[in-house]
Amino acid sequence: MKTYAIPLLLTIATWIGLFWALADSGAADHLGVALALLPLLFLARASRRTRRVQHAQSSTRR
Amino acid sequence: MSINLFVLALTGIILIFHEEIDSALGVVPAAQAGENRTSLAEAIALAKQGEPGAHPVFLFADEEEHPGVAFVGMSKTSRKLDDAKTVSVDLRRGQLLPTVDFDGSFTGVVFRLHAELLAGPIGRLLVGVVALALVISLVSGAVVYGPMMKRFAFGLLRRDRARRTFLADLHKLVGATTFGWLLLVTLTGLFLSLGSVALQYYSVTELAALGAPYAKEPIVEELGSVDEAIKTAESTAAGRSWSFVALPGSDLASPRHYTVLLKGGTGLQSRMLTLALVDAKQPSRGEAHELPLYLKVLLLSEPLHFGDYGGWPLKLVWTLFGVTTLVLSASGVWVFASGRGDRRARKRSQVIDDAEERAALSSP
Repeated sequence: MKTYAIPLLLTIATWIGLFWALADSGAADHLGVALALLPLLFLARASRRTRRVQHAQSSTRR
Repeated sequence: MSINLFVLALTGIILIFHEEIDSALGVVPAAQAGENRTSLAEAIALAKQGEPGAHPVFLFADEEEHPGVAFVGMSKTSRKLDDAKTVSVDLRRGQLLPTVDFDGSFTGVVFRLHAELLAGPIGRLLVGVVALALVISLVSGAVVYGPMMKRFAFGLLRRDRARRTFLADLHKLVGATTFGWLLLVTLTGLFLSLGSVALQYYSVTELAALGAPYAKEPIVEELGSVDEAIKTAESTAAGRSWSFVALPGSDLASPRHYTVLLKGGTGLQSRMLTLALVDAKQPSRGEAHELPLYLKVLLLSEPLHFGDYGGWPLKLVWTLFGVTTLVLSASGVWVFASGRGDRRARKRSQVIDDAEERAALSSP
């Protein structure tokens, strides 16, 4: 479920964020940009989490 | 595909900062501070003096980016907008500014590489084909991704395995997380690659129909009425101001009319240009026209492709997404190339095994 659900949610968040920022030139502009930033934050988090898990696995093996 | 994507992403990242680069390199000459004292009709006359024998085909200004400067498109060969050479006029001093070579500038070359692979109109269509192939590969990649990744936790990067496995994981993770942005930018890129075709289509269908009663009239060469015509056009759409004028006889205007593009409003409205046709002989006569849906889609595609509507924060987001696209394409090339290498090695060892087996069977 997660394999499709997370990319789908990130796609929806990106699109809402970018269209929201385009439609509004006020304060919501920044909220839209922040929403569009979510996939990148998720990417950084996923990469860091894997590194942590692997570090823990290698420590256990040792 | 990945190599094309790499080139498009790299040039795209550079183009995000084209205004800053152009300003640092001094590509566009700045006008003197003060108020505009020169009329647009005088600016056209100055451009004619600067380019003797050439016809003025368009007039363009951007008070936010280049205050006090009018750009006049001059062409000796035809009346097509694409063939025009841009002459800049300082509206504050009433003087010609040094010639601007947009195409030869650094960002101009990068733009032509990005939009048409330095191959002109054919290159533009080629980029469209690449964009279409990319849309197909993104969608098919998304379809294949689910069943393939079912057994694994989302975002898994197997760093302790072979480099190919790690890069394949990275490729899938980056592709899955940035899918929405990539699909949006690729689709809008596809629309923009068809932009000049769409504009030509509009010019020969709807615009031609509007100008049909005047099609056989001689082209109005006396353009003293341009300032009044712009005022008339602006009066047809409240709160909007002119940004571009196709002059009579050009491929976006009839021989007798100015085609004035107006911009204004906020948010989405500011991206939707409106159009007014104004009689060059009787500049008080003008009427507004709605642009067709496909041109509206084209206008909307531009900001969504270039990410130039949210100031520095959005430029930063676009750059980060661009960098992830570079990682995506580089890992794609690596995975593909190493896969071919593996297949070749497997084939070679299979051939050796077969030969050894044959030799063993034939030996007494």
